[in-house]
Amino acid sequence: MASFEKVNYTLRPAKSIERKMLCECFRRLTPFSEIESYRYVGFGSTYFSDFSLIHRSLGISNLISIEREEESSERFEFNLPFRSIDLQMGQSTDLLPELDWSPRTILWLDYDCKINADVLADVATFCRSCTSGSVLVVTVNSQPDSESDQCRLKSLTRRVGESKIPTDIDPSRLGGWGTAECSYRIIGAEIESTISHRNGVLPKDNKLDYRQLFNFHYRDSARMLTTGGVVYKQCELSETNACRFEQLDFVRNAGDAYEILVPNLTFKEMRHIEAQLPRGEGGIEIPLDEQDIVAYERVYRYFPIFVEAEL
Amino acid sequence: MIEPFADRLDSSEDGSRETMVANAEPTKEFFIEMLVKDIQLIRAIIDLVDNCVDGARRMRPSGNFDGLTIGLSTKNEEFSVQDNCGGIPLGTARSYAFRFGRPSDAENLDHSVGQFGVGMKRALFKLGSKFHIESGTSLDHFKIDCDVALWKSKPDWTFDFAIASNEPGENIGTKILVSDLHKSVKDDFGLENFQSELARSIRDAHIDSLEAGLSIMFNGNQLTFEPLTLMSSEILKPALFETLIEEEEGAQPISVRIYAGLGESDPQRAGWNAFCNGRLVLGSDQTEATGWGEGNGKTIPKFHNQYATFRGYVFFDCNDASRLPWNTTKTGVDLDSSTFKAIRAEMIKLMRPVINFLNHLDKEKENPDDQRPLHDAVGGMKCVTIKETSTSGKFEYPQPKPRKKTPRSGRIQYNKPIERINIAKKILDIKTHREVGSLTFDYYFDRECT
Repeated sequence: MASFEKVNYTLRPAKSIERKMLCECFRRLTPFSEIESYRYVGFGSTYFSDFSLIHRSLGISNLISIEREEESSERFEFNLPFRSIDLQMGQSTDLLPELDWSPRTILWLDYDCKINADVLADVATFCRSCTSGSVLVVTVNSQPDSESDQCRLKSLTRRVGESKIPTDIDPSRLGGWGTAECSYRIIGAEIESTISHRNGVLPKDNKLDYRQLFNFHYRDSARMLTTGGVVYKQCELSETNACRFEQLDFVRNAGDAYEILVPNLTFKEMRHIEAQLPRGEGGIEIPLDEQDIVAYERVYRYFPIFVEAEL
Repeated sequence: MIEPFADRLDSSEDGSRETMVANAEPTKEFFIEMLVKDIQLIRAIIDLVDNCVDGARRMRPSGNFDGLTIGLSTKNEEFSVQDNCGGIPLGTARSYAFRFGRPSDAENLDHSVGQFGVGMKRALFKLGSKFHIESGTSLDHFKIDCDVALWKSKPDWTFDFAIASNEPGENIGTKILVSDLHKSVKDDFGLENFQSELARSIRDAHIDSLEAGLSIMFNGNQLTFEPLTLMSSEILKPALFETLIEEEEGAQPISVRIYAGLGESDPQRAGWNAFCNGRLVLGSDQTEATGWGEGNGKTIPKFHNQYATFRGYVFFDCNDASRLPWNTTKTGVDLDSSTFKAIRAEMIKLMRPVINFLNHLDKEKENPDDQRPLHDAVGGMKCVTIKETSTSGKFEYPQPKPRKKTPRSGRIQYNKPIERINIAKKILDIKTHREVGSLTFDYYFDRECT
């Protein structure tokens, strides 16, 4: 069963927060060019939640959704929220290499599967082809395989191939967020080596660099990892710096992940905390654990509100 | 306590510091007996042909080789190669042509295929123990006779000229004769299969020069060639990528052209062909070197006969041959060179749409004969020489029709005692095992799963 048949994508709070955080970061790409001129490529599923947000809040109209469940193509077409979404049916590994990569692109490879060779092939395709100022975002399921340590390493090796496994991986560290950390490193290494090969023949100023922006951990059910960043020409370093990504507290340039925690609060509690945010000098008066208050404080601007409604 | 290394070097009694060095002089054995192990006989012979081709290029920078001939003979327990491609100037012979390795002050031939200063000597040693070289230009001529065993025993690193004259040569060109062939070489020369393999390899390696009018005679027969071709039409166009690599300041730029498309179905000839200055260095490659199997087979699948029509050509050209990504035996690309790494990435980008099309084509085989529009489209398509192809850069191909929506199904198989199957058949009033399986599944599903 495809995941769109199992999960209503709009009802996953951590995912929803992540989506809005990413969007806020994309908004900062303007030193490269107007954000409306970017192209967004993603896996819209039947909900197109990311497409709605990207189009509504950033004004991006050049939208491509890749969908592999060819049998349900009519349903995907029916659910297209905007006319300008170009729905392409097929495997991303087949379709991404056929795209014209000259427009600046935000590509969100939002998989629900675990890291595997397909994921890395798509990452490499982007890095091999993208234009300076383009952004890659990769989400993978990073739930540890429910097996023994050695089996976890073996099944990871089976999925990505032995040459992609970092040499210092400790199989006993693949539990908890360990699989996410390992997946993060494997994706980072793939980006690094593909760009390094591409740079081989580029003149000095046109050589490309990758600046990581995202390293999210979150769990609506399974543990998920989202990593990614911006690829830019070395001569566009000043534009890259002018984006001021680091002003966003969830932006991560290295291995220390930002964990999106979703506190379980009532509406009344949320409204009460919000009324005292951004925080002044004193504490926030409410009968809750401080950690829940802090967790909410970090995400309140992105927090989804779910109510039952008949539309 | 261990003394510091530098202190231990103060070995002389008066305490003065002796210069301590390690001997790193080459030995003749290294060239005569070791270096030859790294190259196959056929490749060594092609190295000699490369020198003739360089002569042709020196003589005719315009690139029209009409009237120029190279003749090879592997008969009568001798090997000879002879050309009318201008000859080796005496000065070059004296200072450079016989040096082991290419001196940095050697004159550079633009767009050359000999580069490493090792090919000719290595080939001579590989072939036999006596060689004779004579060469004449419009200004001078020379002859060298060498008995390798004698040369090995003398201390100096020179070859004696039998004749060295400032008179124009009788014949303008070069002749090399190797006799006292090594036993393994003699054995190979006696084999018909070896002869044809050698002829084919020479032809493939120098297809570019053959197209330019060069004639190559092999044991008296002229080598014929087929030009490089690709399918090209209104609906199917090969991909083309061109770039000029000007990485370092002052360095000669490398021009690169990559074609990817389809040819005739032939698993032997499918794959990538790489040329450096017109010289084939990698033919019909189906390995990871050219991207096959990249990304665990996900970026590009491993080669399989379903891709028997794939053809890729990549041409590296540079006036300064030392910048080209080839190995010294010219039997492959230098996989570690940054140029090749970057171009390999471009090759992968170009071949992916071709692979997609071939996958669509393969999937279409499941359809009845009259519902194979892609097969029909490419079925009668002709190949044209790559110069005649029309391309927009991107591989263009007829798009497959979207598949009709059919519910996906799976197959269930199990074994049960035949008596029990027969009882079920009787009660269900049906004849086949298949129906028993299907109806019993429906029976269960109706009651338990709905």
